[in-house]
Amino acid sequence: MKTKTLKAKTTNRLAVQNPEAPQSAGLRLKVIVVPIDFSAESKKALQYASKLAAGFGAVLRVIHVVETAPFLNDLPNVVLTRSENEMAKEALVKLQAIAQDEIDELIPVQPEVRIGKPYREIVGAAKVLGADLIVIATHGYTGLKHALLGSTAERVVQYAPCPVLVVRENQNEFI
Amino acid sequence: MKPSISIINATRKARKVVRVPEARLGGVVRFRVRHILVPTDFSPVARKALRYARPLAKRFGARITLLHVVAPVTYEADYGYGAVTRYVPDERAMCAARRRLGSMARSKCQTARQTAALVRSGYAPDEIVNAACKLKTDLIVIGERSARCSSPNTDPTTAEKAVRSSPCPVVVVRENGAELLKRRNDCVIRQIGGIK
Repeated sequence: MKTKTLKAKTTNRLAVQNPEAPQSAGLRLKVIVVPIDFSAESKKALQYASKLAAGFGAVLRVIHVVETAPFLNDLPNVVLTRSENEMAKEALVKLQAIAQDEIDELIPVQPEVRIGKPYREIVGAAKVLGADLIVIATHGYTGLKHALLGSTAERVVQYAPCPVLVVRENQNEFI
Repeated sequence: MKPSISIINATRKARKVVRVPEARLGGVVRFRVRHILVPTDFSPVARKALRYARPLAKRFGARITLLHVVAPVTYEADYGYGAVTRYVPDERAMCAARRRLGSMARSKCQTARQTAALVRSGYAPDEIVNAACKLKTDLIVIGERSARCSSPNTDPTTAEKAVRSSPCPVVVVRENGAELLKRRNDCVIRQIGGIK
């Protein structure tokens, strides 16, 4: 499957380094990938990621994935009202707005929109970008809801090339 | 505090780094990681998870609790009204696990402010979540083996089950994942970059 990627220019921001953090911690955090689906949970994940980025002087790569609908594209009588590219462009504008509103202006951010299967694109992006950490939100469905809806976060945990911080709604927060 | 500017080689592209007061950043200072739970089955990937937890604990001044879950002994019993399955804690295995965890805490977690060892009997994912709830941990750092069938219908791993119902954020460390830990010469590179 062909994958298209829309990238926004890296916002011209200065990287912020906490005076003590990188020296004292034995962790090497340079690139943090944050998948966003514009839900409240994913915004919470973005908050965690931005705090970590501020603390460790890392770059945030905010990713949104527009899921393709191949079964609709193949049907002759079905006309899609909006193409994936249009949706991707809209998502990119939204991502840029979120990056401006939710993230401290001193943290370097690069929004990116990809088209494809969400977990594949997220894992692929993490590999390509050399991510040190993925911060992802999960809805935390259990039982039948989990069986029917599944979870992108779970798939990302299974196939990620780096450690994954999973944040859930309605849980103890440490920020 | 007046911000000072220096250059680091943290990424391929040279970036200006501004040192700002922590209060203004609202960054690490606002993190309240006081208690980290590290479930371990003594496997290499669990040890790797502990290697990640240690610097985090050191950074945030958190204490670490090592948790090992021993599967109970099950047997069929008949008390006259039909066979029932009984679950009894495996005391011998729990004693051995306590000793092993204790020595692990002493040898591996010297840098952490305080380390505790906890052994429980039961079903691992449930016990991890219960322990996290009871101890009110802020973070769970857990290892996950990479060997997994690609089919979504296979049984989820302990880490996946714990993630699903955890009361706090979870860091899942993969067996063959990229290393987040700082290598020795990283410090040197950073210092040289700073001087330039």
